Amino acid sequence: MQIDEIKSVILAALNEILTERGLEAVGDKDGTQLFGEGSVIDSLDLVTIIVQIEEAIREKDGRSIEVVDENSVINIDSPFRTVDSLAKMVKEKLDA
Amino acid sequence: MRDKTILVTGASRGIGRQIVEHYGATNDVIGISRSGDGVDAPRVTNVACDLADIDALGDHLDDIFRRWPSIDVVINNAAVLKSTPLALMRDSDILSMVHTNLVAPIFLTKRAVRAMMRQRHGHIINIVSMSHKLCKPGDSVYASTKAALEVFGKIVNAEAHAAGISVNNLAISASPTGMLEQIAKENPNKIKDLIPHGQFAEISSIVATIDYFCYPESTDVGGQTIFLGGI
Repeated sequence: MQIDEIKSVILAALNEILTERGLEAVGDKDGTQLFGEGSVIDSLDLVTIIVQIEEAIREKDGRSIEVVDENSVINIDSPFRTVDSLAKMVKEKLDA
Repeated sequence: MRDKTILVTGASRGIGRQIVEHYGATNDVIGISRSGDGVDAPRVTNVACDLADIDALGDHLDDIFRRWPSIDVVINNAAVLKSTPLALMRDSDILSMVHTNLVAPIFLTKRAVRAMMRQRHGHIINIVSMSHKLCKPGDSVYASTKAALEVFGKIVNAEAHAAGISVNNLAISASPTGMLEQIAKENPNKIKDLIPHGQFAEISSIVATIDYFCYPESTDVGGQTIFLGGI
């Protein structure tokens, strides 16, 4: 799976959550904040997005990866902060 | 409920079988049991899966969710009851109860929540028990597994509610079928005396409660435990 596809999965999952809450979809913005101050979702929503990424990869590539592993820390400086940083981190895991 | 996809564990006998019989008339039901035996009906598919076999369970459950990726309702019903004072309880019986009654529903619920997060809806119902209210000697391990499953359900509900998923617990007083069959045959009044309503749980009340948890209007009903029998 390529990084643009990963971003699409993230944005689709994010926008589904936002739409359900009557909020405006974010469009194709890599820097959209997923976690921390300025984020429009909470940490449990982020879990839903991570599950969607893992399932999309399993469906498309037949691979099982764990986006959150024992080395992951979900905090303000983590790769989970924005659409872009999360997509890059997932791509690195896929390429490792 | 009509035309839903419902997965039921412990489907070959007892309450699980009755639940499958009821919902299998108007829904697609996946019945999980160790033997793979179960209700023979056009809309019921029986699947053999040993919930106590923890080493193989994850792969078995992954196969089931690949085969049925859109399950609307999961009913964690399967349980093992060995009522013996702990000092005399076999280690194998302890493990069997912990694996079947607690670890297996946790494994299954994890996979169900992941699938339901994608479809943005779903209901998980844990069949729990009155045992941890009664604290009857002999039930230390069984009651502990059911108490743990109840708390587990409440917390997962809080984690998954935003994704349109509810997790609730149905605490059944006692039923003369399945695991209590032998005890109930020998001395039914001894069990009934423990239940304020003085009667065994009826399937009509069991499915009515499950239906309530699954009503489309029950969006704010989650993390709850309903006890039957007046407990």
